[in-house]
Formats: sequence, C-alpha cells, structure tokens
Amino acid sequence: MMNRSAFCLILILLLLLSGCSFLPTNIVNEIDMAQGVGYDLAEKKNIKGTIVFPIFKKDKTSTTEVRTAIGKSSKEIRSILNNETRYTLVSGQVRVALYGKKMAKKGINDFVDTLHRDPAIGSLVQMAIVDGDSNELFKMKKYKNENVSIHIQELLEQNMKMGLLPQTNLQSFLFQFFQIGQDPYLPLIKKEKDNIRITGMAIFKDDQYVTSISMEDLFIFKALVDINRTGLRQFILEKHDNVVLDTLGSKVKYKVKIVQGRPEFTINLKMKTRLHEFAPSEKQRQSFDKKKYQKQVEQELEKSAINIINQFKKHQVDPLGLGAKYKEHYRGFNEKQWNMYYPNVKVVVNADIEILQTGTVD
Amino acid sequence: MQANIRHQVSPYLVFFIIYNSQVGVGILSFQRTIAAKAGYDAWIGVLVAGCLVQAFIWVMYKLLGKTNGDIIDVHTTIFGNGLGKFLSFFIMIYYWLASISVLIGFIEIIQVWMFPTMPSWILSTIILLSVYYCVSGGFRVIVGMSFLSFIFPQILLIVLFIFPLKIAHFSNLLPIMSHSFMDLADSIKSSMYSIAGTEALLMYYPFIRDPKASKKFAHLGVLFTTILYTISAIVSFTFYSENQLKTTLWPELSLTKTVTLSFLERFEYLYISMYLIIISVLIALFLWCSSRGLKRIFNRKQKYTLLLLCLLSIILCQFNGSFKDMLNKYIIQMNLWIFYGYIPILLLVLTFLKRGKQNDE
Repeated sequence: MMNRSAFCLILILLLLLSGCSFLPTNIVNEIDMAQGVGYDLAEKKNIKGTIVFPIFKKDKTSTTEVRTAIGKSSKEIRSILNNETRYTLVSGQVRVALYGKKMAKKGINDFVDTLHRDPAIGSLVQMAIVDGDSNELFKMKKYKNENVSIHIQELLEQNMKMGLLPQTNLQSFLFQFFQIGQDPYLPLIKKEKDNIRITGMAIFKDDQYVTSISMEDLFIFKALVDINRTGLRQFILEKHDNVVLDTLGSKVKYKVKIVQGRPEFTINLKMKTRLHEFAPSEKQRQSFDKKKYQKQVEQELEKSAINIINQFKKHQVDPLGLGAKYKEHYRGFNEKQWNMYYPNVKVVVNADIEILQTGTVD
Repeated sequence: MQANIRHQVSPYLVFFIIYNSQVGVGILSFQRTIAAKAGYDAWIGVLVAGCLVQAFIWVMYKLLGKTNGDIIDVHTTIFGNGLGKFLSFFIMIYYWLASISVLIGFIEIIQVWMFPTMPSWILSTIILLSVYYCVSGGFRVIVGMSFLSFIFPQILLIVLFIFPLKIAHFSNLLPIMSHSFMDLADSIKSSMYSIAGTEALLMYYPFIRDPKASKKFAHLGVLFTTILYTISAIVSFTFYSENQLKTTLWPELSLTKTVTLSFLERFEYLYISMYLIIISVLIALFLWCSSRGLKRIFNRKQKYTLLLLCLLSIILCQFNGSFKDMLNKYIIQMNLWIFYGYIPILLLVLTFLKRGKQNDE
C-alpha cells in the first residue's frame, strides 16, 4: 500500500516538474499568430519578407498588422520581425503563402521548403503567385480591418470549390514538384485598383515560374487536371451566337499509345453541362438546337485545349502530367528521352459535351 | 511448464497481443524505408513479409508445443542448463533493445512534432513509469491494455486512411512490378523489421490457456496487421509522389496534416497522444518478456530485473542521433538472424533430438 502511494507521489511530482519548466507556454493572447506570409525579390539578392498577423483588442474590432523585413532566408526574416513585435511570432496558423512574380521566376523552392519542414504548418496552406508585389497586396488599406490573409484564403478556396480554379495547396504543389514527368501550377492573383483578383494560373518548370494561362483557358485547364463541377464559360460560336454553359460534372481520361517508340496521347473529355444563357445572332426568338451547338462547343473546346497544350510544349512545361502518364504505361521510361520527345509529342483531344438542361425555357 | 491458471489468458486474446506487438513506431515511418529501393512496388514486399511472419508463427507454435514451455525451457532441454541459459540471455537482450528502439523512436517523434525543448530523460521516465506500473500488474494487465490499445486508436487510423483518399492518385502504383527481384527483396527485408514483434510469443506461450486453440487467432492477428500495413503503405504511396515520399521522415504522421476540423486545427497532437497508449503497451510487453526471462535465468525477483532494465533504458535514451541509427541497424540484423535463422534450426534440432530419444526407448 505504501508503495503504491509513493509511486503516485513521484508521478505527480514529475508531471509538475515537467509542466513548470520544460514546456514553453503559449497563451493565446500572448502570441502573435502569423496568418499570411509573402516573399518578394529585393535588391542585392535579398528577399523582402512580409508577415501578416491579427491583433485582437478588448471591446474593439481586431486589426491586422503587416510587417516587412529584408533578409536572406525566411527564418532570418522572421527573427528580424520578432524584434519588432510585442509577442513571439508563431507559424502554426499560416493560411496563405504568396510569392512575388519576380521571385517566382528565380525559383521558390527554398521558401516552400520551410513550410514543408515545419511540423506546425498544415499541408492545406493556400499558395499563390502575385502578379506584382505580395507586400503591396497585403498592405492594401481596404483590408486593414478585415483580415487580409483570410480574405485571400477564402477567395481562393471559394473559387476552387465553385469556380474555375483547379484544386491547389501546399500538398498539391509538393506532389507535382516531386513527381517525375509533371510540373506544378499555382493560382495567379493581382491587385487591381483596390481589389484582389484572380487573373489566371501560373505554370512552373520545377520551382520556377515560366508562363501563365488566362482566365478564359482555365475552364478547359480545370477540366483537364481536376473535376470541373460548377465552372461557367461563355462560347462565342459561328455567326456570333453567344452560348454560356455551366458544367454539372466532367470526367477526363488520358490514353497513351506507343507508336514507333514514341508516345501519343489521346485525351477523352466528357462533360455534362446546362445552358445558362443563349443569345443567337439573329434577333429572333428561337428554340435552342442542342445538337448543333453541342458540336460547335466541342470544336471550340478542343481548339482551346490544343492551344494551351501547344503553349505548354513551347515552354517545355508539363502541368498536365503527360510524362507521369507515359511513365505509368511504359516500363522503359527515360526522363531525358521524354524531355526530348515532349515538344513534338502528338496530343489529340476528344471533347464530348452534353447539354443536359436548357433551364426553364426550351 | 505451464503457468498457473490464475495468470493465464483466454486463447482469443492472442489476436490482440499479436496485433499490439507488431504495431509500433514502425508503421509511422516504414513507408519511406521500404520504398527506398523498390519504389512504389514495395507494398508487394509487405505482403510477402506478412507471409513469412505467418510461417514464423507456425514454427514457433511447433517449437514451443514440443516442450510446452517458453524459449528458456526449449534451450535447457536441448543444450542443458548452463549453455541454454546463456543462449536465452541473448534473446532477452534482444527484447530489451527492441523496447528501447521503440522508446527512442517515439521520443524523437514527440520532440520533433510536439515539444522541441523537452529533454529525453523526462519523456522516457514518464513513459517508463507507466510501463512499470503496467508490467508490475502482471501479464493479464498487459493483455487487457493491449485490448484497449487495439480498440481506441483504430478509429483514428481509419480517419487517417479516409481523409487522404479524397486526393489519392491511384495511378502512382502503376506500372506494377517494374523493379527487379533484388529491389523487392530489399523491401521485404526492411518491412520484416516493421512488422516484427511476434517473437514475444516465445516468452508468453505458457500464459495462454489453451495454446492449440490460440494458434488460429495468432495467424488471424498477423493477417490483420499485414493488411493494415499494406493499406497504410498504399495510402501513402497514392498520396505522395515518389520523390516526395523519399524526403518525408514520417509519412503517416504527415498525412495528419491534411486533417483540419473546425475545432481542432492540429490533428497530429491528438494522434501522437493517442499513440502513447500503443507505444507504452508495446514497451510493456517487451520489458515483461525481458524481465521475466532474466528472472528465470538469474533466479531474482521480476521486480528487480524490471527496475534494472527501466533504469538502463532511461540512461540509453539519453544517447540520440548516431546511437539510434546504430541500434536500429543491429536490431534489424539480430531480428533477422535470431528469429528467421536460428529459431527454425532450433526446431529442426529439437525434432531430431526427440526422435532419437524415442528410438532409444
């Protein structure tokens, strides 16, 4: 009996000991939680880092604080900024990481590495490339009282769920970056007057920004890399018939054929859509001719798909992961040989568009 | 030499003991080591390793069934008292080192993921205190704990398998069998150690009420863990790209980073804390084996051998880094040679010996 109680005493003592001196305490209103980080290129090979954190006040609305420092690495920037803040900066709440376009052209791997390495940072952090300076974007006056990093995070997530952006985050970037035969892509955002707006998709070669695709091509791009659930696109067809379609679901299949030792790709795209708006060129009320327009929309989509694929080939980037698909089907895959083949590889796109509903009118 | 019926456990509980002895820190990181050479074909290696373990279970039941006791009885019947105890001593050392390797692995996880400033000795002391408490309750307490440690963490494991499935790339596994046989053999070898642990049966066999009836539960237990390990490997392989997996130290723990709940941002804190149950029961089982063996070899009370082992473990846990790598390297070798080389030979020797004796009569 004596033994038991002595045992318990030791246990309690030990827990007290460890609780008091060896564990750093982080009380929630005594830390500054970084919610957004941004990196831009500064002069002399230095990096301008920006950290955004909210400040909560009693009886007042909370404000966001934006701090900037210049340094060589992201943790150096953090330690410089730590000298300015009232409480310690912690990184567990980072929701969005932005990279300036100029810096992205030099490669962002060093800055993604620190997000990847830190056990406190989740892998669903949103990443985006800023056409311009990420610092300016964070400092916008309009979002002084509204939390700017959460605004950007929700802007991106909303568009991935309901709009035209394919799903991207830290995990998808790392996956594509490390995957043989695939290059990553991230959303491109821009400050326009006093608004933040998504302007397209940045396409990388390894970790370097190479080219971008515009909003118009995002409809087909998303259908090719992700599942298109509720994207909206306007088609201006022959004779300037204006058709606006909304996807209900899409499915894409890649087929690889080896012809004379070289790969050939066939992309079969199936899409179910509904008509959202119809403005025929003849100013006469007419019922919607499904078959005729389906055909025309298919041709239009195939054309724009081939267009962006040609653009990728020209820049030697492979965001669709054609190389990875080739590797899956061909045991003798050789990365160097594939890189040689890629600019001239034959890709055929077959779109199969079905207009299921025309709304409440015919 | 069966143990007293008061200390024995029902045959079906062997399922849980086997499960618990096989699942440790290995499952959090083995995906990376098995894929080092065999790439994404390595999950086949896990299945093959599972079959080998099934064969090993069969060998152990044959061997122990002949003397109806533990490994020390087997050794003494074959080699006599002195040499038999000397050889058993090595196996007890293996059990002890295996428990230390689990402990060090788990302490490293706590330090990297949760409390970077916490010194090792505090963590090892706290874990070993609860382990000591568990072991001093006897074998039945350990079995009861392993039943609990089977039930609770399963729920978490299932969550961990379902969340990543939303973004799984199953085509990663293609083309199947694109690696050479030697590469696959390497993945079998590295998964052997991750799913090792069944060798504890060599010590607790006399504590099973009806050993013959328990045999099928032991095989079922191994089947269950093999499937668990294979699924876990496939989930990781479909979630990470191959080079990404090679950079990730704990692929299974990094999977938790994708789980965000509105009321809980960091799921891994919950996961690692829950994992403490699994780990402490595993360490308890191995330390029980080791201390009971030493008790029988040196004729001391189990309390003292257990205390000695715990104290030595705390001291060894202070050595991190290169010591850990060296320890793991030796244990993997020991595990392979002792249990997949030496024990089957022992079975052969014992079979011939018995036959010879029968002929004499």
